[in-house]
Amino acid sequence: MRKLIISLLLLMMLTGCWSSEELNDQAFIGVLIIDRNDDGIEVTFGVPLTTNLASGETSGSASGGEVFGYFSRTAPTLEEAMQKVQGDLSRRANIGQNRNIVVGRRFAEEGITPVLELAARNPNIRMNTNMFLVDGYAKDEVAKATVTSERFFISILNKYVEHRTALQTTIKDFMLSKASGGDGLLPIINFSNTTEGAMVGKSSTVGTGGAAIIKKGKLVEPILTPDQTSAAQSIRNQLGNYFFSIKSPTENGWIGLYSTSVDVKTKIVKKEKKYHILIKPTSEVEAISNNSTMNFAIYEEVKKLEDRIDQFSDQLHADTMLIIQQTGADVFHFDRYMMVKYPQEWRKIKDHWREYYRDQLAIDIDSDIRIRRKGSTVRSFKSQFIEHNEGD
Amino acid sequence: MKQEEKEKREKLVQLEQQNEQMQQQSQLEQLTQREQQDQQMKQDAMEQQESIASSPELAPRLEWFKLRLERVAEVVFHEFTVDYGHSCVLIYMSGMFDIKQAERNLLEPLLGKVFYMKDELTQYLFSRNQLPVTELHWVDRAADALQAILQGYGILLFQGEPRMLVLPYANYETRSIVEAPNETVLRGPREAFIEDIGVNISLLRRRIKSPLLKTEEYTFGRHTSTRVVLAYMEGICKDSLIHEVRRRISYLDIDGVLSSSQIEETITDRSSSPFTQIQYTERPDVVSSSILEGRVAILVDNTPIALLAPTTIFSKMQSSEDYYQNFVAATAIRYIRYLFLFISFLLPSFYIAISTFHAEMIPFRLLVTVASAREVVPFPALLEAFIMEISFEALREASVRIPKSIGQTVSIIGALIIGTAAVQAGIVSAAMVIIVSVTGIASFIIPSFDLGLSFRLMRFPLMLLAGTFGIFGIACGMFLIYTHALNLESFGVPYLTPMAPSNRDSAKDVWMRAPWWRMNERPSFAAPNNRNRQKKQARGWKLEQEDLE
Repeated sequence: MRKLIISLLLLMMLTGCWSSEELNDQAFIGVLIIDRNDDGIEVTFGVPLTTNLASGETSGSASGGEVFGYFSRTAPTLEEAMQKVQGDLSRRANIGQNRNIVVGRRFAEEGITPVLELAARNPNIRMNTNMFLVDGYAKDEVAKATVTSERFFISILNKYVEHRTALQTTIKDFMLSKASGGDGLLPIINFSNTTEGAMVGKSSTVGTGGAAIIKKGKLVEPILTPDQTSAAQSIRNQLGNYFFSIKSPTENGWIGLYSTSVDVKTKIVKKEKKYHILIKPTSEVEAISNNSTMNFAIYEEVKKLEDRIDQFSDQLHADTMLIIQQTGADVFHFDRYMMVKYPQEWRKIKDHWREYYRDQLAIDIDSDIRIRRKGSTVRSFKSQFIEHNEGD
Repeated sequence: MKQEEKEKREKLVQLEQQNEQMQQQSQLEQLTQREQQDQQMKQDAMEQQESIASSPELAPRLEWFKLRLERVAEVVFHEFTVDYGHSCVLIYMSGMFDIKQAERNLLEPLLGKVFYMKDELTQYLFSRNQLPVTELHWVDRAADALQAILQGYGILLFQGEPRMLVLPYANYETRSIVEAPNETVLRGPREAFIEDIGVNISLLRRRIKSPLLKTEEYTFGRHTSTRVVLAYMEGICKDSLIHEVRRRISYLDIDGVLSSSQIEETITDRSSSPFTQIQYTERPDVVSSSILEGRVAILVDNTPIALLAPTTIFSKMQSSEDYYQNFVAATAIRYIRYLFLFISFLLPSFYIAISTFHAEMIPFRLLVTVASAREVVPFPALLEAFIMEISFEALREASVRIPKSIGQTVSIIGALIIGTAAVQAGIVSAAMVIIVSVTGIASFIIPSFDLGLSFRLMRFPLMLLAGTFGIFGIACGMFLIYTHALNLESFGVPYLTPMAPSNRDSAKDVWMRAPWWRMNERPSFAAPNNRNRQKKQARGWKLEQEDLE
């Protein structure tokens, strides 16, 4: 008992001298924006301004001030720039909460390796921090963005990832393997004008765009279109809700389809002394509209439609893979499949894997997509109701 | 001339005063001397009269009793004579003795008869036992008779007879049996113990109508002579446990036993521990079920609380309600209770730890909300938590002590100050108010009040640890508490039984409340030798039914 009292008294002496830090003495970085300009690297901390988020009131704008602030400084290196920003802040910057790193186009072109280096060594930076690319000068674009649908800009980014709207690429994805290290896809966030975009009527709202291919930490051309990005998402098993339309197998009309999720299995096989990556997307789709004469009650027609969907999927995946493969960036880290299944052969080619991947690796796509739900009407609305009535 | 006269007068006055003082002093001295002499004489007389008291002569015995009961206002010496010429004295304490019964059953028959010889009277009273009174017995030691008078019995003395009759008409006002005020249940019996130990034992006996239910009676307290009863089931309760309880109780030698806590603290294994190792209850049904499990119950007169030993931390987490409710619901509620045990214990420290050390652990949006709520608060989280927790404890303590008529005012003021005003003034954050209220509610979910109290108190050192070392500090504190609890024993039973040491059979009553038809065995820690509680297949009728079908 006496020992317990003494140890507790000793603890009291430590109060306040330990590394405890009150919430209000810290600035929690919600987004880290990194750009390159002529003077060096510009680092921007996006910090929620808790002082302006009045307590007890539900909406942040009640006190009138900004709820999210950006603090930026430029320095030759990333670390120096971060130190300079910290020097401007009245509170200690805490990067432990950060889940988003947004890089500018120029920084990506010159290489995102400083970020990866920092993350690899610093335990405070999460390995699953999401990376985004802004096709332009990221700080300017992000800072001027109007945030309407969420409280903070970063919440929008988090929701994109959470709802699988955007491709998710984390720092860890660049470090998955040695042979293809630094390869990956960076999702692009767009900033719209007033007439089209995430929120019409407001300027510069946030939206998703395509994706940029990163090879050895550097951005390479071309940039994937949104459709191709969806295909890439699907290969990475990240594709969520997806609407698309297919030409009807019967005549010129089209059929609207909706896929809730795509399950992709990837494996490597050896065929005739050549290695094939086999990508097998399987999905069940729902028919949501029918603007043709196709009758869903007829098995053959449905079968034909399914074949068409498979073709469409194969084509989209193959096109995307072709573009990526030509850059030599193994963004999906196929080398890991090779390494696990054929370790002997892998050892021979691992030093020039990227060349092998670009020139010799065959990529086969075999979609298997079924129509699960055809809707309550078998024929199109037009043929079933309107034309039928005219016949009366 | 005038001056001389004055001087003379003054001298006279002085002399008179001196005389008076002298007289007063001597009077005082005489008085004290006399008192001392008196007391000396009294003591001498008492010593002498110890022998006189057991003599057959009535007068010296009466003198002895009168000396002993001097300046005791409520004692009554009723002297009367039975024909022919047998003088008797009835001594009793008014207010504790039912004089009407005595009049009807003792005085009426005695005074209505004629005894020619003394032997006739003694035969009538002692040999043939012809008085219409049950439980009538006699003592021949005057000290015993005196004790009987003090307990509310009547004593009848006879001339020429050393034996003294004890009339069992002790009768005093007791509280009636009411609904258990602190351990309320929805479905179980409502009765609670009262202060009178006789009634309390009858409440047990009404539930366990078995000759195996033993009620050993002891008397403790040099002046209070408090009755203490050990109740247990012979054959179920371990002999070693009964011996141990008897042994520990035998060391009690105190001037007064006024409550069961005096006994509890004397016989408990580790009295300095924050965990109490003896369970207490005010419910006879809880005591009965514990006795049937093989535990010992200790009932103390003038206390509406019975003690139960041995006990474990898990039996304190069980409410009697668990055994009256549907077992599925009872099991679910039991889990909620365990959850809130940890909440009452850890929530404030956890909040302090993660908000000052591990802010990375809080989801971003929650973090922003908490941080913005804390923005105006001038205190560190640890201090803020302490202020709130201590004021909550004060409020709780006040609400127990405050007279009912003004209790409502205080609770309203408390709620206003702690809840609304403190937040609006920016002294504490709304998040802290939520945490303190949840903690407060959680600590009352624990069925045993003293276990809840010990967890509530241990919260404070844990908060300090959390404020100095973060989660690491909490882990260290938990570890210390756990080691301490592991080290505890209650009458030879480890405090964390059946978890540590683990016992699968008994554990079924910890993680779930097994249905009654599955509780075939008693918990092994209390009754290792006689574990069979019921015939296997209590639901045999169902098997039979299936066979028929």
